[in-house]
Amino acid sequence: MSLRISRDLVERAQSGDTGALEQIVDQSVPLVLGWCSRLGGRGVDGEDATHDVFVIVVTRIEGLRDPDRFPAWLYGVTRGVVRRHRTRAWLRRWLGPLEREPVSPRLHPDDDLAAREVREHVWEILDALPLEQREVVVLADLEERSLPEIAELLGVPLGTVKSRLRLGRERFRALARKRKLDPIERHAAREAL
Amino acid sequence: MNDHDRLTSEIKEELLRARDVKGWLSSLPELDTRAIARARADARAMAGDPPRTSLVPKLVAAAILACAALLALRVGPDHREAPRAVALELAPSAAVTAAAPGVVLTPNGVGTVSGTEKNVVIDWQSGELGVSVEHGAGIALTVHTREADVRVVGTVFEVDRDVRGTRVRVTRGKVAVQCGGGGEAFLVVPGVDVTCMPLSGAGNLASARSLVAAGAPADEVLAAIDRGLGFAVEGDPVRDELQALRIETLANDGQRDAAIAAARRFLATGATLRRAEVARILLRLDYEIVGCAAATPLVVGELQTSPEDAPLLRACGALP
Repeated sequence: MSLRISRDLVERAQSGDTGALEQIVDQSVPLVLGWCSRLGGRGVDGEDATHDVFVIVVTRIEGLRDPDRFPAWLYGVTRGVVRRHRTRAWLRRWLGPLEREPVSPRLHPDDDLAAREVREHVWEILDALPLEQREVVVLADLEERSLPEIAELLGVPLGTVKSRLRLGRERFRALARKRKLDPIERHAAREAL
Repeated sequence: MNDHDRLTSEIKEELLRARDVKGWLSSLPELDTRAIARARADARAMAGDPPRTSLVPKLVAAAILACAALLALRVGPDHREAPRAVALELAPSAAVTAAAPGVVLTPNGVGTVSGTEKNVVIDWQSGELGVSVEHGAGIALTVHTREADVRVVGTVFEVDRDVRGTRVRVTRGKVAVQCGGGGEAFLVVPGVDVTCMPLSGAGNLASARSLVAAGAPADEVLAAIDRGLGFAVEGDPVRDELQALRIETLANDGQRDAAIAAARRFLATGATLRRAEVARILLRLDYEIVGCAAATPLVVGELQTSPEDAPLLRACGALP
């Protein structure tokens, strides 16, 4: 999913055009919710984080200097919010349930047990990646964005994106192997039992 | 292995890695459309109107900042960056207002905003106020009403103040509410509404009347009246109004004995307001129970000049 928000729309939102701001919100919400859910990992309520992102967007869009860079700005805001939510989730894990634990949107009673197991492993592996690697893996391999597009979103050189992606994939694969996520290995492991 | 072979091998390896990772990631579910709809509605509520910063609040804020700057100069240099002051007048415009970075207000009533960007204080007079605060941004926000102090613990809540008191509804996160009158603070979570009752006789009278108008059960109305009687002292006209409403409520609820006793007590006191109404209720109840014999001289005396009671009084021989 790509965010196509024109400079004109952002400028109109900055000058107080309600309709423009609503259009931006409408277009951005699915993307931001996806980022929050996938980058947030376990313990982060994607909807809560999305809410916080849009509080910032609504109150600070006026201050965005270059409207052309809205997608990168939005990603930067989301990244900051996700980071804070992850810290809070981490603290919650160690300090006990100070707040309502978010209901995991990832489990569904109709899920096949094996598929659910794989999915939980994938979440855990994503969670285990450093944020820099996790975000490029999610943007490239889940959202299927081009590397130049990712570089622009993150505001880093293309080479950095490539190296982070390579390291992220390597680590992902290593962790997946360790958990015997490969279908053939899983089958072999079951047979051995 | 020559350079070409090494490069080919590396590319193949990278493609394999990408294929594997993509394959595993594809096991993750699509975004829940209901979650998207909820998040969209939530965000749209914030974006419904542009962040409003009119000139007057800006001027007030600028004046406060200037004073703060002068004060800082007098006191001496402080290298810490102090949070900026905020000052806004909220009017019933229902426009979304960016009170401070990370704080979005949806006012539909009257109030003022003061404090700093990191410690926002809202004095809310009346009407409905939606409050949305960025989670974990170190913002302390408190809404004061006459009946309640609502302190942000979570993110989104509404404060609605009218004659019936101050209602707090939490959409997301938590808020701490402390009702006036020395009550303990407690946490309010989504799905739970809390109402802090008025802290005056007049407030409770208005609350009771609005409950009657809304068809609320007699118990609720009587509870509001009794709270009001606790605030209204002897001689306060509000007390007479509350007592008259209490008698009417008891009578309408079928609690005739209690209504008759209360009406007799009321008429025996020097209450000046609502005497005729109470006497009429008493007469009607007496008449329903024991007929004309119960239409006491006291009641007849109260109603002698009221033409609308003439038929009943005449029927009982109290009028020619």
